[in-house]
Amino acid sequence: MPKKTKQSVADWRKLKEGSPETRKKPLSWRARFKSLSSWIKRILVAAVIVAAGSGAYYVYSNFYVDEILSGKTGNIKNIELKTDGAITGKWLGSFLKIPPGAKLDDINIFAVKKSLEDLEQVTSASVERIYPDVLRITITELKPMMRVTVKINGGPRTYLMSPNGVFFRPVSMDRSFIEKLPRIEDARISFDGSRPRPYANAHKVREFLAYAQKLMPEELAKWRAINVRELDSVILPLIIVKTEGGAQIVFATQDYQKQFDRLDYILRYSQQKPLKSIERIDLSLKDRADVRISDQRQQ
Amino acid sequence: MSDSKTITALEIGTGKMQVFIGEVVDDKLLNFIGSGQAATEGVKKADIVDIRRAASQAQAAIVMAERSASAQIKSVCLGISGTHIKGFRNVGSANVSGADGVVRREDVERAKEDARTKSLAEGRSYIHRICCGYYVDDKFCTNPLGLSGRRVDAEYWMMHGDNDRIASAIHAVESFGIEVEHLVFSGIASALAVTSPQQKIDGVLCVDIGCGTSDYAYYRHGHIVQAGVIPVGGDHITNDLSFGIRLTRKNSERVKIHCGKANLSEDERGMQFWSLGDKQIGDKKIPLDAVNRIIRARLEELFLLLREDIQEYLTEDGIKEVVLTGGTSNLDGICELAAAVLERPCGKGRFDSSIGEKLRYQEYATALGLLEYARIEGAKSSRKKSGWLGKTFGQLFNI
Repeated sequence: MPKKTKQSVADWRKLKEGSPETRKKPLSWRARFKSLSSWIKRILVAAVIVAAGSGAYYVYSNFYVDEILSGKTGNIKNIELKTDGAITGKWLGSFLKIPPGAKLDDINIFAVKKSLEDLEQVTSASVERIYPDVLRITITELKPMMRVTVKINGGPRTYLMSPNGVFFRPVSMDRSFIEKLPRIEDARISFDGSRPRPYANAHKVREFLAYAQKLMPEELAKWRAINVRELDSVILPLIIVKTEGGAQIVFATQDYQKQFDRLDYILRYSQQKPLKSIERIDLSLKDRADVRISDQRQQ
Repeated sequence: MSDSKTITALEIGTGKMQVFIGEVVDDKLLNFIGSGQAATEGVKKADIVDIRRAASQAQAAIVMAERSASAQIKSVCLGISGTHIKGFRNVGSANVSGADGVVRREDVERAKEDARTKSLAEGRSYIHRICCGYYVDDKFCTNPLGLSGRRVDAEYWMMHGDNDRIASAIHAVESFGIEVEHLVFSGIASALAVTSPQQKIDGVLCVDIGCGTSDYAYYRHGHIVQAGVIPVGGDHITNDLSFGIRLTRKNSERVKIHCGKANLSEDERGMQFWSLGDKQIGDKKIPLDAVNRIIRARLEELFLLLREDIQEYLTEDGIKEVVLTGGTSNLDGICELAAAVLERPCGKGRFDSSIGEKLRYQEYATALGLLEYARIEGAKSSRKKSGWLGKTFGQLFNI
């Protein structure tokens, strides 16, 4: 007589659904493929559910669903601007021309984003409605390193150049600030439509100015122009700086530390001695510096 | 718009793996669309002893059927047999709860639940739990709802088998990515194919004599009353002939098929035949009577074992008719022998007129019955899932 034990009613389907002992591995490729595709389907279904859940949570937490559904949105009280550049809230207000008393829901945030991103100075913009009454605008801008004036359609137009060599027309910047930036001279600028193409040797100029900023910041403030005509030279690439006093300083594109040390020595020497009318300092020579005085005496 | 689906029957027999594919239209019309067959390997007396070989042959039969039907099989209705399958009758009771003494649905459900939830010994699982009828205060009825009484009993025929052997059969199929949707005792499937509803109401014993085992199912009042397995089949006759007349198994099988008879007329008793037929060295004349005596002895044993199992139903009110089916039932004179031993009129299985000529073979009875079983169960589940919502969700979660 078989021993009887208390257990739940055993049905053959339970064997199929399977305890680990009764569930055996597939023998054929067809079964393996089916098993694999079944797992893939399950994972996809789980992924879709998770994505839908996350999306719903994101919408709920970011889009003030309650306020939207209840229709409690009001007039815009504040335009909150976050930027890493020069654009100010005042300028933005005048640019966007949002009428006073405009409702938050009436703002076409996509149009605002597009109009901001159409500005050459702006690299990216995001516009959010913060219910109930705040319009948040976050902008990333190009930083100016130098300026250039080009003639387009017969008239002069000022562009600023970012450290990456991208030219852009400045907005929301003081004229005095722009004029303090050193000019880039004799750069071979080509145009894409009406906008200059990025300057290819910008990285060399950036490196040079970074050294100048680090080693002689007071002197850098006196530089009015940087001539890059010889920068493309295969034999001896040169950067020629024009100071506010009209002097020229010639740099080779390597060993900046040594050249700035030499320049520092020359300038201190010239202050100690009555050599105030220096016309040209050539630091690109290997073991010496060539200084030309305006009375034609050389030292 | 008509709704059609494909159903598949798979019989893992001792002699052959048989696959039938049918298309069911609107849960009613069953059209046969393809079949596959492979010689069985790794199966002894209907039990799988080498799962890899058995699975490989089952796969061969399934692939053949898929090609024949130009359809891909996703699930099957699997026939199972073997001496591990046992059955017992169980009665569940419930007192009629209403003060008016009228049997209500809740009373019937409690009685059914009581009958269905009987625990089995460890290592056994139910294959079927079939309701055979009801008793209201010990009076038999097929539908007790609305009758008056104090107690309602639900009578069930419970069939169970060994977990390992059931799992092997299932795994042999599911190991190549096909789901076992229904598991059916082969005897029940055969009875479904070769007996009519009226025969089942009157009382019919259907015996499927296969290669390794013989499955039987006894029906009365339209419900199953008893079913079981006798561990004797056509292979035993082949073995006996092989030993008795000293032939190889292959030749013995040939002799059984072409010359085997369960009953001989007086004229045939003196006849002889050539064992191999080519009259070359090794060929010998064998008396037909000797073959007959060997076959008869084994078949008598089979019917006597069967008689022991169903003794209590060999009464006036019990079995009215015996129906033989399965490959071995093709032996001449087997019905007369069965009728003599069981003392009941006996005939071969009669297929429904809707079954085509090319399928009207006794050896196909199980597979045809499995198809019919799948159709009936499919129609039941369709009724449960009816409505667009049920269908949509059924498809959505049917990964």
